[in-house]
Amino acid sequence: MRSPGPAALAALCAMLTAGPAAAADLVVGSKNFTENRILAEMMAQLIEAHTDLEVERRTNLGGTMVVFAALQSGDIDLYPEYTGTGWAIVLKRQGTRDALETYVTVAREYQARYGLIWLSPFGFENSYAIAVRDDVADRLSLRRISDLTPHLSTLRLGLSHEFLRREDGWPGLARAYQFPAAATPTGMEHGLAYEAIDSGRIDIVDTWTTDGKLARFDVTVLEDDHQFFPPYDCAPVIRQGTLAAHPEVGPLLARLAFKIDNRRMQRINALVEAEGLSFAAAAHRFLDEAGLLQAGAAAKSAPTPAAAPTPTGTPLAQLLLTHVWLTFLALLLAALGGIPLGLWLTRHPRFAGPVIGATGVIQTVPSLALLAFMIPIPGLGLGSRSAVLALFLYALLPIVRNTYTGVTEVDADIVDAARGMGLTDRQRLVLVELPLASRTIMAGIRTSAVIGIGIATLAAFIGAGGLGDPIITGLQLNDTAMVLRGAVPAALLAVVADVALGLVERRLAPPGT
Amino acid sequence: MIELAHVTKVYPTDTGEVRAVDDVSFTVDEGETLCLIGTSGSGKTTAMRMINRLEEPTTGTVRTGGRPVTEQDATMLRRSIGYVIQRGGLFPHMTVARNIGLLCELEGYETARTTSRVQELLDLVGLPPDTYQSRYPRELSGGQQQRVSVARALALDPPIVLMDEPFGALDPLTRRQLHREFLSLQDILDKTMVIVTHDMDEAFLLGDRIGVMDAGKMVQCGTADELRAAPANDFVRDLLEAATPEAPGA
Repeated sequence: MRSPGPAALAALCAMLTAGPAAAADLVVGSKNFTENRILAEMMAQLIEAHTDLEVERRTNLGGTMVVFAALQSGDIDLYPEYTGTGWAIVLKRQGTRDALETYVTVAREYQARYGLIWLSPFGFENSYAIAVRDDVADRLSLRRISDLTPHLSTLRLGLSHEFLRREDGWPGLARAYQFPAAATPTGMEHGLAYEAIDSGRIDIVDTWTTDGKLARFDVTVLEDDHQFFPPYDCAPVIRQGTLAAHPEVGPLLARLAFKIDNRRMQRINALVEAEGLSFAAAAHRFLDEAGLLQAGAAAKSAPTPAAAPTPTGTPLAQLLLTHVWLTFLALLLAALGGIPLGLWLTRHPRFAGPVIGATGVIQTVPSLALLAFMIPIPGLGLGSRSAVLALFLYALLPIVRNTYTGVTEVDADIVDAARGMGLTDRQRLVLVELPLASRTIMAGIRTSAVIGIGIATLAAFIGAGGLGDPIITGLQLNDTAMVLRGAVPAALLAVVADVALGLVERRLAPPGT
Repeated sequence: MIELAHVTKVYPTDTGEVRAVDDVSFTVDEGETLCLIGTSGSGKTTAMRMINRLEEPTTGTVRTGGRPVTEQDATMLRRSIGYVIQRGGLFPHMTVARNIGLLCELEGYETARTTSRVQELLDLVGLPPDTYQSRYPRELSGGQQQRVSVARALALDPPIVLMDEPFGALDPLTRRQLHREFLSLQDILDKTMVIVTHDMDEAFLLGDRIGVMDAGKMVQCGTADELRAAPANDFVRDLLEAATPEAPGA
């Protein structure tokens, strides 16, 4: 790793203090899965090829709510969305089957409620689907989803976490097909589910109709004979203000309308997932083949496909540095805020219960949810600031609690002697209580550091970078080596931080104790 | 001089209130030592802690040097009163020298003056400075810790010293040794002192006068001879019988 010299730290400071989406004219976002990222790249490259606009990419955002919040707040200007997702997740509607009605409704409602415009669809539909391993399908004659019903108690289901929770996923499906309650699916990361079905550890996975992996594994997609899954036509969603500010963008994106059918999308996805092209390169190949880059400044800022052999080409040192910096900054802020807060509580003990309780409640909020809450807050948005604030909130509890208990657990005789001999409250704190509590306080900081390094891997979901980047991308691409590129350094970092802060803790321990 | 005039301390409890100290009055003259004796819960410690404002009286007045303590700045008041507690209350992260010299330091003494004061005090309590000044409290025996604690209380040469069971946690042999040293210290220093104890022998030995407390009340206050001559009630009589007759002057 190159040494984090002052220049590098200054650059990182600049990165953190720069507002979200500062310089670019237009920010293209995407969710954190292959297809969405490729589509975002396509849109970005198309705009770059035909206009002079500076386009920034904020891809790899963690899920619908994160990316939608970013679009609403203006952190991004557009991203590819699916009609069924807008219908069920954003508008919270239930039960439609007609594709056109769905598109028209989300388009109308998005514009009226949020000032967001659905442009023309790309032409493919990315619906949920249920896939069964071929040999199981043959043996049990499974062709339709309703064929599953008598066999569910013996079949092993490995479903993605989002599918398990979504109303238009497993819960609704089980009701619509009146599945027996005995069917108990296991939640797993989608990228790992194919490995599991391939090695015979599970029989059924949820998938989608454009999944590039469908062609690579021996699985059969079952027909949705009760037409449960809503339509998922994909289209760009863009802010009204962006369209007005850059009127050339609307017609430009319309060139992508109905250019990609399901089979084509499957193939483009497979370019990345099976052939190892970068998202940018896959997008570029499609645009090039479809002739969408010509008749304009085609050569301008065209990406060089060979330059990025892996989907995320960020050097490890930079990921590590970002990771350390995010965690360190959050920890520093938590110590600067948490220690005085803990000390204040020792002087106002009736607030100790509520305040420590409140910091404890923060810890029970799922990390990803806490990160997503930050995005709409003015001045935070996508990226480092939100990540640092979320990490700060997580780091508070151990520091506040240990400061408070460290000071209150100082021997009552010693405190009594200090008062009785005439130390002022401040002198007692600085000369007696803080030194005697320093080891406990340091232990709190150490706990926070180790927790923070772990949670910081999730910061990648909101575009803050760090070692979570290769982990998340690796999981999408089913690339274990890439997952390990992020996971191993993160684990090592946690161990190193634990040992190093443990040494500091021992050094800080007052002499004579 | 210390005066308590009709001092009462009431603590609220779940079931009502407790009168820890109930209308107690006494005076300790300049250079005199008063021993407060009683069972635990008799209010003797609370009565003493109101002198340096570690507790505030509910009603009544406490005076030192003729001025009500509540009108004096708490920090200034406490620095004019030495304070020794049962297990010393030494600061474990500070050396013996720093423990003793801390108040000198806070009062802005020059380093050299603090150092010589610390050495003087260590000599006074019978701990050779060269051997002991850079040790930490846990490296000392209980008796040595208590001597350091006394030295610390005397650092600013306060006119008044309060001691809460100062020798209570020591083994009998060490206690007897410290009693002897204390008596000679008393002669040299001529401090106004209040000592809380539950040991009648100790009270007879160290106190010019003895205040017997029971259930928050001052039952009787007088010299050893006065108590022996006319015990106020059975409680005092029982205490006197528990004492070893030949202990004084031993």
